[in-house]
Amino acid sequence: MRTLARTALACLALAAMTSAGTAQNPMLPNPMLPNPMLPNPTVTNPMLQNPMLPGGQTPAQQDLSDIPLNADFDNLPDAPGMEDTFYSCTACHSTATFAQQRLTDERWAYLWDWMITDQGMFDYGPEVREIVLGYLTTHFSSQR
Amino acid sequence: MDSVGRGTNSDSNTDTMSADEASPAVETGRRAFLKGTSLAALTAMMGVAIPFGRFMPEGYSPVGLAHAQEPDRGVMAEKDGVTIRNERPINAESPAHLLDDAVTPANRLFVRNNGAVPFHALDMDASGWTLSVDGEVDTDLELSLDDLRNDFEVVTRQLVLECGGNGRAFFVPGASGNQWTTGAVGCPEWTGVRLRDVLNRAGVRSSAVYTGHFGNDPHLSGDPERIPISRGVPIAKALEEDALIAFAMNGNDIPAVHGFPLRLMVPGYPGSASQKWLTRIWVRDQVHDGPKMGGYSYRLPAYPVAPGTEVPEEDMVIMDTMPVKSLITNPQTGAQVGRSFDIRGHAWADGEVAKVETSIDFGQTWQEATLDAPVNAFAWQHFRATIEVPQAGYYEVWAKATDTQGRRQPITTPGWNPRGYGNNMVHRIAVLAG
Repeated sequence: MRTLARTALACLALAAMTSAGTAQNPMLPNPMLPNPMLPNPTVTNPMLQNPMLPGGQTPAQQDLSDIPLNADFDNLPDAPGMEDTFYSCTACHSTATFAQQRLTDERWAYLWDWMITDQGMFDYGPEVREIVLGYLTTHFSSQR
Repeated sequence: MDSVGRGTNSDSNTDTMSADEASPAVETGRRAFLKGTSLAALTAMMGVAIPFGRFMPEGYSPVGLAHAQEPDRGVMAEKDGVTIRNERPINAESPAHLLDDAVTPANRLFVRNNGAVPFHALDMDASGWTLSVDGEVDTDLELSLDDLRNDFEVVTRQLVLECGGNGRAFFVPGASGNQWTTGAVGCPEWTGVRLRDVLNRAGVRSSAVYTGHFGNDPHLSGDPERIPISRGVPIAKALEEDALIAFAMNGNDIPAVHGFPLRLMVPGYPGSASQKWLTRIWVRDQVHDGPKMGGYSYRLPAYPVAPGTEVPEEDMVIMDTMPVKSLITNPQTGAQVGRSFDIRGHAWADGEVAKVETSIDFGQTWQEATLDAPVNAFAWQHFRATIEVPQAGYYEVWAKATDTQGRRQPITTPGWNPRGYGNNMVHRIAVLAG
C-alpha cells in the first residue's frame, strides 16, 4: 500500500514538474517547426529555401496560388481589386514595387498611409483604401 | 539651388506641362488613372528581363504626363543578365555567378534607385556641375569638377558598395522593401578625392555632428519640392580616410544610373549613405533628418524582436556598419561538377575579413579557404578552395566569413527586423557532383 502511494505521489510530482517546467509563449512561432498558418508550411524557415531553384528564387517569388495572372495589368493576380490597385498604385512607381513583397496587414496599411503623408500620393479616400488594402493583404501577404 | 537641385540643365519635360497637369495630387478620376496606365503600360511593354534601351524609340517623350519624368531610356542597356526587382524606380541585381570579376564592371553592378535618373545623367552632361559644402564649416565651398580634380589629391580605391537590404528576400516572414537576394553588392574601382580632404578644406567646426548628402534625382511623384533620398553619416565616419567623392568608376565616367558625374562612396555603411548625383554636403549640428533617414528607413529595432513583430517607429535606430559577408561566385548554383572541383568568391566586412571557411555537409564540418588580403581598405577579398566530395551526389557548398573582430556570418537569417536589413547569412550554392 505504501509503495503504491509513494509511486502515485512520485507520478504526481513528476507530472507537476513537467507541466510547470518550460513556460512557452504560445504567440511566438517555434523556429524549428513549419508554421501551419502559412499557405505553404515549408516557406517558414530560410534554411529550407532551395538553392537549386532558378534565379535563387525565394518564397516571395514563387507563385504558389492558382489565381491566374492578368497580362494587361503587369501580371497581377486577376481578382477583385486588381484594377483599383493597378491604377492607384502605379502613378509613381511600377507594380513590382509592391508585387515583389509579402507583408503583414499592418505593414500594408502603414505603407498606404505613408505614401500619402510622406511621398505625396493622392489620397484616394477610404473606399479605395479598403479595396486596395483588401487586394494587397489577400495576394501579397506574409500572413496567409 | 532648389531642394531638388536640378543643376543647370533645364528640365524639358516639365516645361511642357500645363498648370493643371503639374501635380498628380490634384487630379481625380479616370484622367489620373489613364496617365498612370500609359506609363505603366509602356513599362510593361519593355518587359522585365530586357534592357530598356532597345525598346525606347529614339527621342520618345511622354509629353503631357503629369509625372513626366521620361522613362530612363537606355541606362540599363549594358546590364545583361541582371534580375530586375523593379522597373520604376530602377532596382536590379546580378546573380552571384555574374559577380565573379575581381573588380565589378559597370554592367554587373547592381542598381538601387529611389527616384528617377536625372535628365543631366541621361544626357551624360555635367556642364556647370558644382558641389557645395556648407553648414557647420568655417568656409562654405562651391567646387566644380575641375576644382575637385585639380585642388585635391586624387586617389583610386576599390571599395565595396552594398545595399543595406541585400539579402532581404530570405527573411521570414517577408520584410518590406526590394526583395534583394545576394546581388545588391559590388566592388568597382572608384577614382576621386577624399571626402575628408574636402571637409577639411571647408574647416569642420567642433559643433559638427553629422553630414547631410543631397543629389539631383527627381522624386517619383514628379513634385519638384520632394527629394527621393537624402541621408548622411556621423561626422567621425565622414572624416575617416576611406570615403571618397568619386568622379570615375573603373577609369571611366560614372555611368548615368550610378550617379554621373559625381557621387559619394562611404564604404562599410549601407549604400544609401553613398549619395548619387551629388550636389551638396551639408555639415549639420544634429543627426541628419533628410528623407529616408527617419521612420523605418535604414533602421533596426533597438532590441531584438521575434519575426513579424511590428516595432514602434520610436524604437528604431539608425543602421550604421554593414555586417561581414561572403559570396560564392563560381561555380553557378546548380552546376554539375566532378568529385573534385574549385570554388571561388569574395568576402567583405566593415574592416577586414580574417577567414573564410566552406562546408559541404550543412555546417557540420568546415574547411578553411585560401583568402587574399584586400588591395586596399574596404575592398572585398577573394577566396578560393578545392572541394573534394566523398561520393557522387547532391551537395551544398556553404561559405562563411569571419571578420578580424571575430564576428562570423550566421547560418540562418540573423535578427528579423521590419525592413529586412542586414541579412548576412551564409551563402549556399548547390552542385551535382559526379
